[in-house]
Amino acid sequence: MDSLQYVPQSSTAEIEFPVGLRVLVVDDDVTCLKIMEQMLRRCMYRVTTCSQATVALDLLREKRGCFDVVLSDVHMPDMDGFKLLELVGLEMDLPVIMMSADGRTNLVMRGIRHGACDYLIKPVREEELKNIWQHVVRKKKNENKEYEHSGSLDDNDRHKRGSDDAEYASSVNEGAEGLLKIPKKRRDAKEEDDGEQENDDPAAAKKPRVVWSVELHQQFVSAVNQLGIDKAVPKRILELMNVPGLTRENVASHLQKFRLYLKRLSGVAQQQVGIPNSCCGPLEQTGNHSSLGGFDIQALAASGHIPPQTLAALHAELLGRPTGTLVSPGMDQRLLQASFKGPAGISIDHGVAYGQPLIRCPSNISKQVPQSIIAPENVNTALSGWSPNGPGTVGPLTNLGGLGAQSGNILMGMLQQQQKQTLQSEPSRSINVQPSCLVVPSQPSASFQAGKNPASMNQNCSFSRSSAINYSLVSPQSNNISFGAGQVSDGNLKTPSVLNGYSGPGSISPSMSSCSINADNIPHRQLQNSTLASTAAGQLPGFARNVSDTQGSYGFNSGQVLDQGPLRNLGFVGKGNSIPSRFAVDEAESPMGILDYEKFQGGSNGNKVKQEPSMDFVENGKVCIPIIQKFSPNDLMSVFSE
Amino acid sequence: MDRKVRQHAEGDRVRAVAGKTGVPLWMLLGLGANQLLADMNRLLSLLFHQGVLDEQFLELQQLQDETSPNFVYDVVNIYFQESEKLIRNLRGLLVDKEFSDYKKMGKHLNQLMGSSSSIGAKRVNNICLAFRAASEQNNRPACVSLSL
Repeated sequence: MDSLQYVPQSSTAEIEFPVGLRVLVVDDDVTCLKIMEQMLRRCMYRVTTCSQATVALDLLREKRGCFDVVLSDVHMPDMDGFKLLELVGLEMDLPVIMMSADGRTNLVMRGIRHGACDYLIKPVREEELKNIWQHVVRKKKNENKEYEHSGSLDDNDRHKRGSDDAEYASSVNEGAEGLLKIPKKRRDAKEEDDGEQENDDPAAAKKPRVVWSVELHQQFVSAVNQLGIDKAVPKRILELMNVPGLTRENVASHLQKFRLYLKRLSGVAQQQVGIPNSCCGPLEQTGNHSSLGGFDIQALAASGHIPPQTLAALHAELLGRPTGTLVSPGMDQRLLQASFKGPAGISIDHGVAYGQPLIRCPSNISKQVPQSIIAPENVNTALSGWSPNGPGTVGPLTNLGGLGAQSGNILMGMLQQQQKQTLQSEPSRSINVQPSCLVVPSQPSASFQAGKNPASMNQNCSFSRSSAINYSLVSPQSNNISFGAGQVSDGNLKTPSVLNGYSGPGSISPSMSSCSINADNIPHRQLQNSTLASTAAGQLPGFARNVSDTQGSYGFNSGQVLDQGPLRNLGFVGKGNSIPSRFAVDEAESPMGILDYEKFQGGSNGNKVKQEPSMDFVENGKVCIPIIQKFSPNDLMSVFSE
Repeated sequence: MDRKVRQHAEGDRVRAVAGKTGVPLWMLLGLGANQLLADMNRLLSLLFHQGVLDEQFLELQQLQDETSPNFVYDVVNIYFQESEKLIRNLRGLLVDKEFSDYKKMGKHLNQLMGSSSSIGAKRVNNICLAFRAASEQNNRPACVSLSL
């Protein structure tokens, strides 16, 4: 790793730092320019002044890496200071400090939104300038962090840059440049799948005027993908997006945020990997304990030791083996196919192996789905057949829950098939939808119970249906590519991936989706959603506990999911809107979990209660999908190896 | 006697320098320097008192060092040139009867404010503030009266 080289470099720089900091001052006001120059010189910085923004930009492009920080006036005749700021941010990612005599809040806010790291109000005093080196260091530090996380993907690039810098590449700058490059590269790899992950970004990055809806953001992302993130300039993105009313400025600032977001994301992803991994051991154990044959394999798969092919083989075996009674071949196949259709990568396979048991149960139900309501007896039989443990235990109950949820999903699938056009076409929304499903449970069963018959099974059905309904409600606003049965299976499949720890990023998406939903829905709804998301996370703990007693593997899964709850939250860091919800999630989690747990134990409405967890469970699985997609196999592998 | 000669030689040298630089002889002799400094300080304090200048001007003075001995002089000169231009532009904008480009005016004003605040021209800055407020309300009469 390259970081070793870095340390000495930066430390030598720090000895005399910030002396010699290379500052470019851009101001059309010659008086100010002169004063600034003198002040900066007094601070022992190397100063270059420039009275025209365009010239400054040329200079910056020409002498890439020859400046550490840019000070720019806001009002300039040839180019708006914000535009310069944007361009500098996008092209060379230098810290830019804005200055203006106009210190009104909206203007300062605009500067911040465009990525200025500071905003000085004229008259600028020498003390303020003495401090500007901190922005250079801060930037470098941020990127260093990233660097450590992401590992050195391209030394070469950095070295190249270093030599380019020629004479005085004060190592600060060099480091910053090099560091910058790395996340970018990583982004390229992941880029393709960023679409879904980005869902919450529009909500977070919403500007007062332009609302970056999911659809819009999708367009944006695909445009960026098409261009390549490094070559994507606002103008071209705008052209590709071809959205009336969208200005280049909007795109530019969004792009900037997008880049920042990706950077942050790569950092978070790295952080998350560690924890799930550590959980793998226990998982395997639980797998062994579990009475169900399939679980061992799944656990293994979950732990990520089994290569995809093996998994597939195992899976096939499993399929062949299983208690045929439960599996309706047609359904199974379909589900399987769907699962295979999913994003390429190891995770899917894991998912397949793992998800199988779940799939089986629903398949039974799904047959009946067309008949609209599942007879309680049927489900029950399915349950009993399915879980050796016996109906009384929690394990079966969870299964039931799973069934219910899945049946719900299947129902949805059916529904969708009928309503295909609206729902299926759009990809990202599927995520959103699932959260909504989750939401339903959180809103809780109380309402459901009131509405529906107490008969547990029926309720299950209705429950799932209601979730479907919710979905449909949500869906109009959202894109859902693969929501149908295929997705359901995917969701199930992914659960294991969660176990693997790949889900880290994926886990982010649920909350994201909830955010996006928020954006789309009524305020009242929003509240619910956020809480829902949290409850989803929270429920899992309760679930985990219960299950773990009886059925090891499942319990563990939930536990893991739980673990990821917090991680998920991590993922959110930095997003304006999502932050509150995230916090809510954090705090809510334990109490919620307890609540649910209590419900669970109370078990008066056993089925319903169980459903909630199961729903969550499934949902989590689904959530994982986007995650997986985002990370190409290579990425995953590299992450893993690290 | 010896002393007289030396004074004489000194005088010759000073005169020679004065001839080259055009600086008044009495100044180079250091005779009036103190006087001049005192005058300047008095003037400055008056300006401070009247609110024409503020402490930013002192900052400016402190910025002057051996690497740029004429810093304040240079800056103030630049300021006069630039602000004259700006004021001319502003006037031009106001003279135009069907003038409506308050945005442009705002930009000029901002620049004027930036430079005048940077050199500590407090009064100019204050006027600019009022001017800008007036221009934001599209209050032309106020702008005109301020520009006078």
